[in-house]
Amino acid sequence: MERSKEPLAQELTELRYTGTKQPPLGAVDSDGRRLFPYIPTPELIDAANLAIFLQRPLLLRGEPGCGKSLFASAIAYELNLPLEIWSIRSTTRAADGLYIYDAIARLRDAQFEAVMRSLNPGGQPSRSSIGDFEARHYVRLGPVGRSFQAERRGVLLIDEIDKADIDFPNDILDLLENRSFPIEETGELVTAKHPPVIIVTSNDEKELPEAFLRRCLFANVAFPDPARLEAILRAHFGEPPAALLERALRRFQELRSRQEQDTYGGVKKVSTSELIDWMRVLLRSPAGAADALASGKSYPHPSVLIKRREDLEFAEGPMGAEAGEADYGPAPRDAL
Amino acid sequence: MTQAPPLLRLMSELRSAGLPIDITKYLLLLRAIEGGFGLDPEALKSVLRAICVHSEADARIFNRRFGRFLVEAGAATFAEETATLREAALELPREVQQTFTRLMTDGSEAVGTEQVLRHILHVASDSGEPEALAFTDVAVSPRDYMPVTRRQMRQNWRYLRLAARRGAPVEFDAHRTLSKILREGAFVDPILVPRRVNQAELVLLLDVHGSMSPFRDLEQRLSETAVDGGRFKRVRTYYFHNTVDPFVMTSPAFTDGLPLRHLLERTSASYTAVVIVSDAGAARGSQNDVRVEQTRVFLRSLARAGVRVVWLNPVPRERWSRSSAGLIERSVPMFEISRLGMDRAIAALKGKRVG
Repeated sequence: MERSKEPLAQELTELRYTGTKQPPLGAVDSDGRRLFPYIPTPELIDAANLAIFLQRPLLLRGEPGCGKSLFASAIAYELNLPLEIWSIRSTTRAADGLYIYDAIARLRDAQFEAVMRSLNPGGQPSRSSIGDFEARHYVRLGPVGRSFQAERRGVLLIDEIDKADIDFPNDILDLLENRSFPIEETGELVTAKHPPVIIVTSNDEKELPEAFLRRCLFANVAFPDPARLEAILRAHFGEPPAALLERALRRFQELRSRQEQDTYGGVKKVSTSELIDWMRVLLRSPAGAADALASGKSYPHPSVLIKRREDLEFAEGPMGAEAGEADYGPAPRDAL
Repeated sequence: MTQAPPLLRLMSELRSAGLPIDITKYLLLLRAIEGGFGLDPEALKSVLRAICVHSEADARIFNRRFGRFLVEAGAATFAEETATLREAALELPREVQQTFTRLMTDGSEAVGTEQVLRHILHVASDSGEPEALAFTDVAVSPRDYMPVTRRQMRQNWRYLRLAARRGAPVEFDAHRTLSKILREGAFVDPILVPRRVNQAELVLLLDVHGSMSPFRDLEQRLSETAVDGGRFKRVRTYYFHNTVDPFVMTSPAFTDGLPLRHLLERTSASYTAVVIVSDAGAARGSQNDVRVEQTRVFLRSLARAGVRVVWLNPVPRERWSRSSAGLIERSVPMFEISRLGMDRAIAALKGKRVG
């Protein structure tokens, strides 16, 4: 008998991301995290909707600082879905995302109770019954576990998956496909009532295994073109003064173009997030900044944008030299 | 129908062009179309990119093929393709139909997906065109033939783990904690010790040019996988030609060198592993006493430094005995570059030391 597909399809097609609903300036979500506006490309919007409909993880690749991780919060915000974030580190294991069982705390509590009883034989026990030391009190669900238990379909962000070792992506593949996992210590089975929308980000530091790649949908988060950069700045800062905006963008692009031509390649280029930070600093004294940008090649507050010696040398102009020294100290002699 | 459905043909072409496409991706594409995605050329391109393209190189191939495809496909309506397949499915046994329906509903893959789809596609393209069945073939291009794959190499390098406890105490030591409990009668604090961290350092010495030219790709692969797959503390790669002189070169172009002495000074007897990759004369089948003697001198200096050494030979074992390799083999553990050879080489590095 054919499984009725209508209800599921209906729920899914109701979730349609458009990239047009932006949070107000300064808003925070229910966990206190800052919310930022997000201007996605049409390609990204399509990819998100495909991932939602096909129920496949969406793998985002792109330069650091281009808003891969933020995309997950943007989707969660617009569709009003709960967001769980799993930040992957080199030591992360697949099981950590499911739950953590604090065996040591349990042992310590039981031990403490025993010590207290022996010191105070007739007194009241601090815990009323043996039931309080049950394993289930010591189980803490991880991001994947929490997203499975949620009452509504949510967004699960698996951030920087390439930081983990080579077997990790395949380990979590089984996890995500089965949509349920047992908690060994209590025998409970956690099942996903509503499988989450999974966004995976990668900085491309390592190759990902074939089996994992086959399972995912892909989108590339490219560095925004000038028009989009301007739109992003407007969305973040309301309406900054036109002269400042135009000059800052131009100066930023100059730096970026120079970095792109750099023959040594593989160098970290200035990214969108650094531009936003720089703009924030410039806006503290907009008139002064606009003047500083107008004259010569200087970059006010270069340390926000510039992280390498070579770029600092490029940026040094009549005012840049002093500004640079204020940030970095005097240049060393005969730097080898 | 007289030919395979257009999207199926496109997917086959992309697959032959080298994109990582399998039959479930085709299914995914159909589900997306049924869901209302990809109904115009731009949207279709977007859908295909999300499903099939995950690297810059693939993107270029895809863009070209898709452009051609649009021109050829003309006014074809892709939305019909799913309907076509559903019809084809109706001509098959009931279980097959049910499996297909379930696959199309929520995309959960089960055992037998391939068979089901193969059936349906066979029926759907009753001209029997080979593309319809292309997905079930395994295409191996000669260029890809390598005695050891990248993944296997990475695994081998990862096995070369020489661990010691270093760093902040973060790992729970059950044994010591229990002893403490027994001594003191109560459990208060767990005893933590530093994690075991891999201290292994790898030095690769690659013989290049001349008789080793055909193995350039293989050597490059060894070098790359050691860096990106192994978890070494440090990987250093040096180059030489036929014999290791007092100097080793830091680039295959031989533009800059380093005295062997200096290299050895920066090694650790416990944790440095030296892997020499060379045919040792076996490629040409020549026996050169001068070469053998120079190599022995070099191996002795390694032995004095106390580092672990193995020799990897890209030429099969049976050709060693008639050349210098057969003689050099007596002074150093020498292994073929094959799955088994590399396993053994790594085991030798972990277990034994020269000198």
